Amino acid sequence: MAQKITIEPVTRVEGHGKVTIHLDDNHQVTESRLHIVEFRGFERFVCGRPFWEAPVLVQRLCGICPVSHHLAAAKAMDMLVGAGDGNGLTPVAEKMRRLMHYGQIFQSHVLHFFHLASPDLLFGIDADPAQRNVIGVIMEHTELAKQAVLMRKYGQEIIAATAGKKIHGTGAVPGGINKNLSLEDRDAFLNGINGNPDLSADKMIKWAEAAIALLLDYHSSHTEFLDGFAAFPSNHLSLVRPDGALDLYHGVIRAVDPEGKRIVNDVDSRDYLEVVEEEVRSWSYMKFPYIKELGPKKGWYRVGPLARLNVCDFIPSPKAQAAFEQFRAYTKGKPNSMSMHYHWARLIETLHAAEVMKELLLDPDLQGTDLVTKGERCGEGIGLLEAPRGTLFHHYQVNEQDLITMCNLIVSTTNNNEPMNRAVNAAAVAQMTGKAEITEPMMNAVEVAIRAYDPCLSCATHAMGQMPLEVTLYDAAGAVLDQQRKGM
Amino acid sequence: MSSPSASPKVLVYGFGNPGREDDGAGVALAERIRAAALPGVTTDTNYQLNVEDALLLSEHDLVIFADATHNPVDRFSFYRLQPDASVSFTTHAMSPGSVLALCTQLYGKTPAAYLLEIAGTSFELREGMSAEGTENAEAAGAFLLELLREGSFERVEALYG
Repeated sequence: MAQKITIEPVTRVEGHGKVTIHLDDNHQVTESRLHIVEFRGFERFVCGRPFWEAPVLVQRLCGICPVSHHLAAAKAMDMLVGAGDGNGLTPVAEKMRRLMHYGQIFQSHVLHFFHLASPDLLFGIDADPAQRNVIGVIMEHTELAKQAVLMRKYGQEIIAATAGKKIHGTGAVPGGINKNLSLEDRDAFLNGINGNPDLSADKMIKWAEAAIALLLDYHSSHTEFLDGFAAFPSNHLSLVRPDGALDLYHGVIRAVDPEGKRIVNDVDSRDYLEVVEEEVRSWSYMKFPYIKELGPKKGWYRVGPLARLNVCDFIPSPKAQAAFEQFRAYTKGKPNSMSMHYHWARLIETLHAAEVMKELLLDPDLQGTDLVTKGERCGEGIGLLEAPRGTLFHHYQVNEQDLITMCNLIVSTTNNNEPMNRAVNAAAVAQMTGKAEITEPMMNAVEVAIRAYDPCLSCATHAMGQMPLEVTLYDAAGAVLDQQRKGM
Repeated sequence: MSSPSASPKVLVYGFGNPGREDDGAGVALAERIRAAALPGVTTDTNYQLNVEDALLLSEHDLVIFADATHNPVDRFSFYRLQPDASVSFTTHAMSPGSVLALCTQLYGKTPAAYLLEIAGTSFELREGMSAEGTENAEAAGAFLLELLREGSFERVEALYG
């Protein structure tokens, strides 16, 4: 009898997801799907509003990465006001935005690794759920947990200082920025916020290095798990600086295939519609993007930290570059297709963000006073950047009354839709084949695969609320054979 | 509360998404308290609570979280929180009780903490609160302002602790 296992919803990811795993008569996994069950309505929410409101409005999308949406919208508005496509801002404006963005990357990556992922790594995915959480981490690794809190706080304070406040920041405006960084703030970030040396730029770099060492130590004793869990070949897409450097704020679109061959060759981000299309599938509200030239079957790709390190040629900061060389050497220079190595890549980016923040803080341009650039107004704006979870596309059209008439957003989680489905399937095949009983470790294995991508389903679907977990086993006729719940 | 007789450091922390109608009730309330500029009372707001808020809590004697709720309460409810070490992290966000537990575990301090829940009726992706949500937030704000102006936190403990 064919069966279907439903895991609903996914925990420790934002928003509402549901996983179904289809078994055949012999309990072999035949197909797995990550369903997104709520409808995305944000693009309509923005229409009819004055374009200059967009950078603030779009932060309503979610509480995890409002800065990414704020900056992507601001980049699109730069085009609208004739300030170029990311390269036309004054030095103080571009560097303030970069500081804001790298602060966001830093705090988001820290949250993901220490809060969401580390319980699985430190205790194992089949550990008791009562221990396998952040309180468990605190009990066993108190100093590590305190470091994570301070790293998060540092990133949040960088955001507050550059964006104006933690939520609904107004730092980026069409064509530039509305304030520079005060010397007082600069000195505090360099030497320690409120005089606390544990909240200094150098301490962030040191702790980011320590986090990589922690992961590599774990990898040495869990190589098979980290290398094999939900691993599969894929294309990889990200922005990259024109010289091939990792650049999370601005760049050209590049993609490589599983062998590292260039399949999208440094396309101007304004031409993203020539590169990417989105497919609709009947069972999910979230679209499935793919590289147009390759079609939906072969053109799907991964985005995010793993993809970015597979696509770029080098990292323009010394400590992260050294870590990157080790990362690339592990796969002998070929793209890394191991889903759990997202965590490794994420920590290398965390170190890079810490280095970039310090470099920017030392740059006197941040105290400049030439904040905004304006040029010839046009009716269309496109802004792309690398958000913590991957490439983020913002596209707007505006009428003569300055009102937004069209908004298209492709968020990171949407870009990763197909690979997340494949990761779920890979985990299901490995963990559930031949088994009819639903167990918590089996459920968590699927979630571990999804968590590697750090999906922000709130961003992709605009769901909200606390989501308990329910697992249901159906037979081919739809009758419930078994049901497990947690958090309900 | 660690030192009720001294001037306690009070934090009013509103959280929620103002872009989702009544979900922004906690933020609106915190902004109203901030505008009142009461001595010894600071405010903070965010979309949601997270790990670093444990550090913020550790720096205060009394913390009042303000949040919107779907629950069928009469305008608002106000009650004492206990650290919640059961930790049911279901999203990136944390519950007030979980943040309190983190504060206890990491910093060895447990400020007196309360949750002011404001009844919301509409949580769609839209700016501005509903008429009923606004009324409820105003009632909750008036209640909290009176409590904070009175400054008798021993009474708070007696009534709600």
